[in-house]
Amino acid sequence: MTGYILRRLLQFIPVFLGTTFIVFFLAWGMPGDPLAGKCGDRECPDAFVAAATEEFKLDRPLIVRYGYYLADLGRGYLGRSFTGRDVSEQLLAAFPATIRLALLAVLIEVLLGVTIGVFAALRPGRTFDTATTLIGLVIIAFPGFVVANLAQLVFGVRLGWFPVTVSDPTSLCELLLPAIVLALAHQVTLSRLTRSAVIESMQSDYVRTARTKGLSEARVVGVHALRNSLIPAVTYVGKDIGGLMAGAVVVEGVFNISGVGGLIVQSIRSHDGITIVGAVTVIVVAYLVINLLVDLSYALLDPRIHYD
Amino acid sequence: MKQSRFLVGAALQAAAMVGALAAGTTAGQAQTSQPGWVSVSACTPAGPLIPTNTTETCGSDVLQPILAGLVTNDAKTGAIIDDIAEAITTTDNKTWRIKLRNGRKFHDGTEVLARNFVDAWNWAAYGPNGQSNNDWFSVIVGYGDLNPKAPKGEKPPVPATKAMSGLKVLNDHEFQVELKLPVPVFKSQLSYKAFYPMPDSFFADPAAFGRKPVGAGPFQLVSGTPDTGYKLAAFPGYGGPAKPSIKGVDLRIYTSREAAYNDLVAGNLDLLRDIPASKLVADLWKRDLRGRAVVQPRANIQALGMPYTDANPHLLKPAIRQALSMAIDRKAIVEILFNGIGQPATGWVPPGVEGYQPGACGEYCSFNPEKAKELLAKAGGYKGDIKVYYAGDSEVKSAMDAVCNSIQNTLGITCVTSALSDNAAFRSYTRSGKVDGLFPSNWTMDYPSIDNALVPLYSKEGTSNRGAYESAAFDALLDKAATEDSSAAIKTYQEAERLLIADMPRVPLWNPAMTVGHSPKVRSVTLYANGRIDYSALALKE
Amino acid sequence: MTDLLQATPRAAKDGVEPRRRNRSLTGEALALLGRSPLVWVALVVLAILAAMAIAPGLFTNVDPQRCILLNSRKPPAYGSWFGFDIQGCDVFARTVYGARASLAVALLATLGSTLIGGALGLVAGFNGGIIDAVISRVTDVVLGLPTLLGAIVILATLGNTGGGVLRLALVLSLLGWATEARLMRASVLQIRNAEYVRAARVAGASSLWIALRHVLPNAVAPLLVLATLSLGSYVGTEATLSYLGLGLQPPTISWGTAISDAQPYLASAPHMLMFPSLVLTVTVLALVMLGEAVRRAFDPRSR
Repeated sequence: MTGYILRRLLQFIPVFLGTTFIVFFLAWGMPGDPLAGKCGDRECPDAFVAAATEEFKLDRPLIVRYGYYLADLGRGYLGRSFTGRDVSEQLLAAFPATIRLALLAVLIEVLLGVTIGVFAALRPGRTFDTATTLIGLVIIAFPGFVVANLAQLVFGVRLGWFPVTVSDPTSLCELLLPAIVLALAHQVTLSRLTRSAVIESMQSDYVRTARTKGLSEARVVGVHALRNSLIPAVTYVGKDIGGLMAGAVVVEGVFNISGVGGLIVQSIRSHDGITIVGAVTVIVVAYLVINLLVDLSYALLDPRIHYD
Repeated sequence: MKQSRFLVGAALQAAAMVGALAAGTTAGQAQTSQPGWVSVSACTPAGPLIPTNTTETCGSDVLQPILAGLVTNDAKTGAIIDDIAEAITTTDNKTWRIKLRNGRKFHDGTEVLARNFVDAWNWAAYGPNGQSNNDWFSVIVGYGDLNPKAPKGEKPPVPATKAMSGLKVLNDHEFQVELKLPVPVFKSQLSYKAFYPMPDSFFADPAAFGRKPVGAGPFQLVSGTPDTGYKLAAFPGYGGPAKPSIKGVDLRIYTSREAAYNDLVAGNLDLLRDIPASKLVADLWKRDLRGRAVVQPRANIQALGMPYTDANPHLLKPAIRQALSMAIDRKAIVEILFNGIGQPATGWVPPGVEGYQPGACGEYCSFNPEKAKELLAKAGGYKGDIKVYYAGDSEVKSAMDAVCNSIQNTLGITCVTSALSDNAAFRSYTRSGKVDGLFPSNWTMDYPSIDNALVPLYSKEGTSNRGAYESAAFDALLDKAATEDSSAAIKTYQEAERLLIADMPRVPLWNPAMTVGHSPKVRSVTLYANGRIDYSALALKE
Repeated sequence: MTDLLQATPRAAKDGVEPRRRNRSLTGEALALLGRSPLVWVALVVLAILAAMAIAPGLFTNVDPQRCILLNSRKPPAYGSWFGFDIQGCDVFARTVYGARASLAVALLATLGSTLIGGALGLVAGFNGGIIDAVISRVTDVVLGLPTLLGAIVILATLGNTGGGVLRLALVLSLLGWATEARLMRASVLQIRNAEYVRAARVAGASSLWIALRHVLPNAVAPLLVLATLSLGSYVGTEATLSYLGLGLQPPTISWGTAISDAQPYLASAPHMLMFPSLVLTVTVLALVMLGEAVRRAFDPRSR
């Protein structure tokens, strides 16, 4: 097990380097002069352009600048963005809100998805199964930004059940509506996965054995069937947490959450390459860690799987 | 065994999740506004809060209430009135003698003295400091010494001096400015924040100032970051003309104005400037806000820029430019897309600006399909499509679509809008000389005087002459105006503006008005001509 | 395609429970598909949409590019069934004419990402070793990349003009292949050591031959299922990209741009948003239902 984890951790290094390399070149390769539009309606004066070019080494070849960037990274320094702030400061300000939103969304997603999936699986083809399938399909067929805006207008502005925007990203209460919006679309796939996995394991030998032993139906479903059908669900949820960290751009924008999605969009719009590289790299690393955790949890969920 | 392992794993995962979530709730508390404070929507400043390096709206909105300068605008009349200055005198528009009031203080308690201006200007004009407002000082004698020209393809050399020879401190409360050439509107220019004084502490640590600016304005920054917003409390030691009655301003950061608008409607926000255009239609905002809506003209002009290069030979013909201008139904667009807020432009200078002349553009800025077709036919027609480029992250899409449709319907030329990915891409492309179509070009006045609407945009050396327009006759008039006294200069500038009709370097579109929505708590909302909120007039109900 | 899918039994997923096969998988699946009424509904809807995409002129004789601002936001009425949008264009005409671009983007993006992902997944899974490690790590990186960044950069690199649908489809393929590659790699790994593959190796068949003749046909089914499902989601992605300002550009008409243009006017003129959204939803629904049915038909366990 330890050997396996070590090997996986070692693989992080090339991925980390690869990501910074690709993102660095993508971010600085965006068309247009990154200093254009930094001076409002006016054109920037020469002194400003010269000083910024010097500070950010904009006149050196990209590969040289990437070298400087790696050297900074080696010293544990993520660099300074066009806004004059350290990238680490920006990331520390943006990530907590995003992580909280992602975890809350995943929590809601799991509660909804697994519950719906299990109940649908108990009586496949009946009303509950068909109804949840159809509703789920309608939900995923609607573009996310329409759902988010509609939810804000109806539940926030008109009904006043939820705060309209998130003024304080540390309040779970305020994050609830955006988290539900995020979770809604994602729970559909999760419930479908859980449903088919539970159906499969209900027909398996060990469930039949458990039944013949006279265990209660709740115990049979809850412990034996469900546990063995969690692998696809865990895989999906793992992929989702990673995706939610980078992909909540629309929901963050609609509900005014100052998170990573917004930071990346804003940095892209202002060609702030250093911030983009930092933020994306953190996301990719988080993604890898979560993937590793997911793989390790397989061993807990399915005794047939083990890592040497 | 199997079972317990599973349970432990599940319990650990659940505990981790709950822990991570709970960690947040303890720290959090709802943002309730304090009595006497007003919450205002703001956006994330793009850089450190240094006035000489802040040119974009977001940073300016945070800085303006904190700062004070020599002169300011009267919110009602727009006239230039003295602020920190007691008297600004000149006999030849070249040598200016400036006397300061006694006892005006920075928020750190130090008095505003003549050296605070002179040092600030020298620092900002010093090339290696790379300030984005650097070129404002180019009219002062000695600017060139601080900004030596770089040999082609090389870095600029380090200047030999750090001070402009045209600036002289006469005593603690008086200094003298020597300009290279006569600038009749110099006093108006002084209302721009590049010319504001800086406290001594700034020069010791500019970076610290950038996080927590210290000015001599009516409000002092108490706390805040670019992510969370800023709290500005009324400065008890303020002795200027804009003393507020409110206790403080809570600037809240919004990434979209749609979100801010929804907060305003739900009663979570007191003031929102610039209501999104989509909420103006059918008077939706007035219904949503139950009439708590203010419309005020603003010194701003939206125009269509054009290339002045052979990237598009058709657009080089003045008659085609005029035909395009006459093919745009400005009135319908303003009426329908902006619900009549703002007005169709009739010239290149926004109304409310000193020297504004209504109808400067004559018949060429009014919608006239027949004449437009006639002009187009006379110019030999137009082959191919017309493109209208805009920045994909801006909010001009619907207006540009409408302009394009109007041109297409009137002239029968296929017109397509094309979004460039963002502002930087848009600006790089439109100033490259390769741009082959039209593009929106917005100009907000730095100070409300006619020269600021003409010189930077249409003179050969203009700092924002993106279409690279050039006209000897026009430039000659500008040079002439520079040597005249104020009232004669304005007449000359007006004459120069009328010259633009023949070439139509940019097609004036409209002068957007400023819209403000407010909560029931707030009354008497007024704005300066440049769109800033007049916090001194703001009052609370009770 | 049918040829590829035929006959050779797929290796059992976990190797625990071998299954009986009397008929060909495809034949059985098709028969099952034909029995479901939902599939027929979905097929009829898709046929109508395909007709719209190919010959929009059959459905309306209004010019979708003729927009009169004076008609702005007019609600549905006789002769303009869906009303007018903010620019005063006929919403019905634009919805009909928008089908082509929206469906083309989805189709091409699905095709692109399936081909790229399928090929890389096959190579990675079949070869293993260093090639697999490299491809898998690149897949990780691509999965973690923000779509917006990738989309901006690739769109911009391709220039400002021309080929809107193709460019968007290319971008979506380049950013979307990673999921496909993972899936393909996983199913190839299961099959790689199946007895008939080993047998072929022993018989001296070349690697390429084995990969194409034996592994690919048996590993491709899950990929096809995913493809039908992604068709639907790409229609929605086009709308989201438009919302972020990166969608298709005029004169191309699409549902995505219509929806994102109309979204801010939700409260004052809901019809501008409702009709294109409705058509988009029905389309995605039809595609997803079809995909879901295909998945069930090919997945013996859900029968």
